[in-house]
Amino acid sequence: MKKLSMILLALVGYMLTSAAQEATYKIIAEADTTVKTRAGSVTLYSRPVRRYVYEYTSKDADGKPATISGVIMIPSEVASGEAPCDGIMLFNRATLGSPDDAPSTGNTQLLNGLIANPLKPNYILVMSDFIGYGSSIDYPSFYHSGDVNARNSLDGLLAARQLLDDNGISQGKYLFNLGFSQGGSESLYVAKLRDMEYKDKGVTFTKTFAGGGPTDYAIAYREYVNKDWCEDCKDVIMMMISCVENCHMNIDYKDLFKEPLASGAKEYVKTKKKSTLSDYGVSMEDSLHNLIQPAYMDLESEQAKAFIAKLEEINLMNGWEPDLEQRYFIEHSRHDNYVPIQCVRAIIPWMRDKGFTPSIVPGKTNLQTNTLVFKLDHTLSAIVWLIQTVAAIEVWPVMYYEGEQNHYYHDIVKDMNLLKVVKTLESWGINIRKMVNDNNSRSLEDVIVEGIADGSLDPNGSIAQLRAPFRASVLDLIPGAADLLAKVDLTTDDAMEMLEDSGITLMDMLEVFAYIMSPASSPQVEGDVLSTLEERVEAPLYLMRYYENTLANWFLMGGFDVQYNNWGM
Amino acid sequence: MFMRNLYLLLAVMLGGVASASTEENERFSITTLNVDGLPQKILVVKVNADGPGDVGSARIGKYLMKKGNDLLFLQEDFNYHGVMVPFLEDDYKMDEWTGNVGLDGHSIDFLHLQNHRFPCDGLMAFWKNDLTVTPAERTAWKQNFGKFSHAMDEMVTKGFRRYEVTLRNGARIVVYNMHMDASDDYDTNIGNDMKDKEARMAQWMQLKENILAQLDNRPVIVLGDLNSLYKRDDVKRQFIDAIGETGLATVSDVFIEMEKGGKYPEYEAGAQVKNRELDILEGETLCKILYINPVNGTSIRPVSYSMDKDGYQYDGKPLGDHYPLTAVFEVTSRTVGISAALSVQGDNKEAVYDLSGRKVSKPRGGLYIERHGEKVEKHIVK
Repeated sequence: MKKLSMILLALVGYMLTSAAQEATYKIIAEADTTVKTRAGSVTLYSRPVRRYVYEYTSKDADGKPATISGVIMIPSEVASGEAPCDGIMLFNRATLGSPDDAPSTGNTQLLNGLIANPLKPNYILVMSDFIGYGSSIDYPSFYHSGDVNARNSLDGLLAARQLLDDNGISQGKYLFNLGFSQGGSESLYVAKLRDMEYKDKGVTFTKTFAGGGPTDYAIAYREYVNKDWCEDCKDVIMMMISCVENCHMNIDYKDLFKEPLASGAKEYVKTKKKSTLSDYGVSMEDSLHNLIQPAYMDLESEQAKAFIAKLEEINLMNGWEPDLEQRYFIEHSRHDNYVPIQCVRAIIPWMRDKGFTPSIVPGKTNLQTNTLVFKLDHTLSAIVWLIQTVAAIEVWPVMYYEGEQNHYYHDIVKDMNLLKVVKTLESWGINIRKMVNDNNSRSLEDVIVEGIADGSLDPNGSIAQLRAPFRASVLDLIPGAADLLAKVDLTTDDAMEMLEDSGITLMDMLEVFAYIMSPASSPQVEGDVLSTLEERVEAPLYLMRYYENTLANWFLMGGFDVQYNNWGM
Repeated sequence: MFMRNLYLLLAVMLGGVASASTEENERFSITTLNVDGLPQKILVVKVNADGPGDVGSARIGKYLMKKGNDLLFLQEDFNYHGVMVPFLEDDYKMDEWTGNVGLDGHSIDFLHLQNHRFPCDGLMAFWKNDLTVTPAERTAWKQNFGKFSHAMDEMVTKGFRRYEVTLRNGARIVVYNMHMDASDDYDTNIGNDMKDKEARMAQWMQLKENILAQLDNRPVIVLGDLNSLYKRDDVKRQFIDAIGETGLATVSDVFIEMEKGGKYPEYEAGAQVKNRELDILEGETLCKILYINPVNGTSIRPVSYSMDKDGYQYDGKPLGDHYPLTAVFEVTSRTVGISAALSVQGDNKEAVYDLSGRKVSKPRGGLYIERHGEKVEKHIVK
């Protein structure tokens, strides 16, 4: 018995050591300091934090152990135990212009400084440098190259949890996974790796907030080539170089790029600085054909096809069986000038096919999508994403209690659809039906009958499947609608796609058309929606709007000339 | 674990036992009422839109004054305390009011609302000027459920208050006034109030431990908005019977005793019963008055019980969302000159307290009732 006990003890000891080994860390620096949220050279907000720079073990692209660095920022009140911790934000950083910008260097910009905002979220921020930066500077960087950074992020999370435990710092109840731009894409790779591997290591996200991400590299490449343009050509070049290097494509840069870039590509791989690309003649405003060889600008060429095939190999959706219990918010501006909207247009239907039901309404389903943002470039849409994400995370402990959605809010959103939105607008004095009926001589029935007859409307299909002329003629039913769209640089096709991606069904749309074309004097179908909402709306919804407006005002005060309510929620 | 290690040692000192008092049979009236005093609105959020508000609360104060019962125990005495009290000031002394629910006088961190809890408990007591009541001991519940939903119990500091009352002829009783965790109708209707029930039952257990730890020869009245119904909450077995089984005291619900012939509704696990109706299950409401008579101690018995549906209204509508319950008790036997002591003994600790709660040395001798878990032993120490 004694021997057996000894063996058991030894086994337990071994298991504990093994478990601990998975989450070992080394603290490189620890300081009580101030984190500053910056936009360019302007400090928008600052907040005292306990900051750890730490190293942990993850893997490189070949699956070999690699030491990665990262940073943990804990609001001072949480670190000292004065304020309860609400949870952890696993933040996946955006593109770096230089190794000097790596999170562990202390450089915080608008996005990764997000715990320093006027809402003072009592969340802990955990952020990896990703391989190729900080302690792993000797490794190549993986810019849009698949799962490597995601693994770095998740291993960093496990190590951070251990570090927090060892230092007696509460981790709270909630765990959010988020990022914008490159970080938006990485956050979805993190979600994928969580579902496929790290779920068994105890990682369960409360929600993933992915904004502005190039979620499909192949599509992004095609779009860049087709348009011969990106707001910053350097990002396209960086993506191509990373793919060549990390996917072992064995392409000579002289075949891929024109001079002087071709000669400078290897130098960029070494320095990882955008400025190196500038040194070799790449300017933001370039047309891509000035930089990329014709073979790679011709999507029908064998070279381009091979390149795209490699990008498709590392596609986010490959090998991902998503856990439908996990929640997502995916946002993208229609007019994103860095990352084409088509990237996200690919992943939303894929997630729908996997069993998610997209909805623009927060908390209605596990896949909240917002592609109704328009007229905003990449940077400004980052602010919209930041406002909506930070407000949602801040209000989460109010909106959810012991894992259950607040039922006052649940009652509002469970039946929310486009028609109710229209009715709410009406109750605010915007008499849409009157506008339509005063200026229209055709009936919806006529348009539907014609659409079915000419095959441009499939009543069992989706909005995306609508074809001309139905698309145009149904829009013509609303006087001024086409002009309105033109004013905001949207085509009819844009509008239809935005509706579709935001979870609005064809039936929703036709229901609204039927309603707004009914006589304005007829009684409303379901009473006074506003009164109903007033009766039912409780603290959580007011609070969420209050938080969003607080953040929006903060950005306005910070010099961002934008009007939040016009950005399209 | 606490109960396992708890020794309840009731010492009735043999030399102190005297004859029953000739001053017994004093009667006193006692009322419990949830005055529905949450604010109708906080900022834009409707909290208690159909509550009595200022005007209705003044009517409640006037009602209580007219009734003139000896002891009044209130719950949800939050925002309209000021309009209710003037009607009671002349005839009653009162307990400490712990404040309102709302923005007045409170610093609320709207950025972390989940951490906010109003310090008030909403409990209040009034007693006739010729009665003596010691300041209340206030205890918060250890377990609650619901912050922005599930009846929002955690938004205030719910709990109980314990009072030691000396009646006009010197007989002494103990009263516990409380507000327990509520089940929201929304959750009840969909069978989602299990955790509310769990919290409530944990509160009953906390209450039981507190009562037993301080039980002496004084009878105890437990009243308030207990948010409990015998059909859905296992109060009968886990509180009433459990205390009875200690051999230390007997417990009875006045309503059940006087109006149901002592027959408690059967507990049904998972039973879904709505809260909202003021008269819920054949007269049984969420509010209750229970009394506990210690063995060999002073005892009381109810001589009347009423739920005043007719009087507690204005213009045909109830003044609040609970009806007042009133019981008249009679002191039926009284121990005089009896010294009782209670010993709470842990693994390595022993402490003995007198009736005033002061720590004393071990009782010299007497009849002891010791409890070891479920086992009860009686023996005499000379």
